[in-house]
Amino acid sequence: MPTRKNLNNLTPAEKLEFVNAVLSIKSSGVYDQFVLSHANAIMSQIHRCPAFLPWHRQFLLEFENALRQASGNPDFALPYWNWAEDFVLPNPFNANIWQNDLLGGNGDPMDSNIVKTGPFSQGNWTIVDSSGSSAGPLIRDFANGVPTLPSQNDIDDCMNETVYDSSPWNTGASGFRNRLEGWISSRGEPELHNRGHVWVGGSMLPMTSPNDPAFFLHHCFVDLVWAEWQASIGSNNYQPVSGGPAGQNINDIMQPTPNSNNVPISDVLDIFSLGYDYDVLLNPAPSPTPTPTPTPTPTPTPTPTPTPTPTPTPTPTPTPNPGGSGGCAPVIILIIISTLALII
Amino acid sequence: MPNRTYSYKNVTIEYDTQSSKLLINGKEVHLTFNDNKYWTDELPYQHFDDLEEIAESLIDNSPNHKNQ
Repeated sequence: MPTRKNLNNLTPAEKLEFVNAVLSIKSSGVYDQFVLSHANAIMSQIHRCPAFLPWHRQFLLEFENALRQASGNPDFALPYWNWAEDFVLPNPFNANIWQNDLLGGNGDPMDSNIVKTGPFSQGNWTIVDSSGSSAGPLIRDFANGVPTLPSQNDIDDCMNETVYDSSPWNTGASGFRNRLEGWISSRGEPELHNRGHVWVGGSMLPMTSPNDPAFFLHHCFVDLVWAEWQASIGSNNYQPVSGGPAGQNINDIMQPTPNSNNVPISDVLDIFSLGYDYDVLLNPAPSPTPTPTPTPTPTPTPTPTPTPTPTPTPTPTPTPNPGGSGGCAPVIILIIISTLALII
Repeated sequence: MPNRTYSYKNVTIEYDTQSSKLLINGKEVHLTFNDNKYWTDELPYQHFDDLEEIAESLIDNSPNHKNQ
């Protein structure tokens, strides 16, 4: 089962594999289909609503599959960006994600915030508008919209929510979805998911935000926080089951994604049945044999490779739980109790 | 209609706060006004206090409003 890793734990070969796969699907036109799918979806059906998390989970799955095909590596998995780890860095602008061997850095403030470093820099990467027309280079404007990234305390607040969502099922709702999406704020600012978009700024702000590959690493972590919350509280907790707005009930079909137009929300509620895992999650499915972590082997890709300039990457202080939610604890306790019961 | 028209980075912005209408180079930006905040699907991750902020953010960051 492909396991999605914290980008801070990627090997140089894994970083190169990710970058090459992204550049490969960009050159084939597949990447831009993801931008158009997001930009042309009915916004109120994929944001500010219960289907926000399920729709983006399906969207990421399809993106990950496209990268897996391009890489030729059947175990390829999307990395995630744990922004709470970068929140505590002295300078988050220099975090691993923004180095030249992964996404490149901030835009040039002296030149319209155009990204000029890394594999997605001006000349190597062109964004598209919502009709698919080329629209210039990638733009980033770190920390202009909000001063800080979301923190571990913000994630903890999410994990303390006990219901998935509630009426009126929008930005005024209480519950996990609305808090993680980022509309619940005591300081009147975008929080969590929204805050990640606004902190990066530039091309991450409009509905064409998948133009920045950071979108996928950001949403991969949002998906991890949801998966951890599901593991801690039980995955069959999606709401509304019925009676909610069209497209938002558990058996309703979601907005189309690049490769599907008939996926019900109920199909994407369990990541293990979808065939992936996270490095910080405890897979509850019974495993007949313990599987040692394979040593990743670099897979050469047929596409032209960028020449990321190797730069010294800061190493964030490792945390005992990179997901940071503490959501696995109940599962671990259950396993210990079950084992003890079997012994007795 | 507009109660202010001005140019930002050579792009014409017209807006009317009474009717919550915003035009960028003559093209209307769909807005909603709720809880004393402006919202637009074109910038789906935040709400805004005023229409100039929305217009300038779109011109700065949205490929749909660049190079008009």
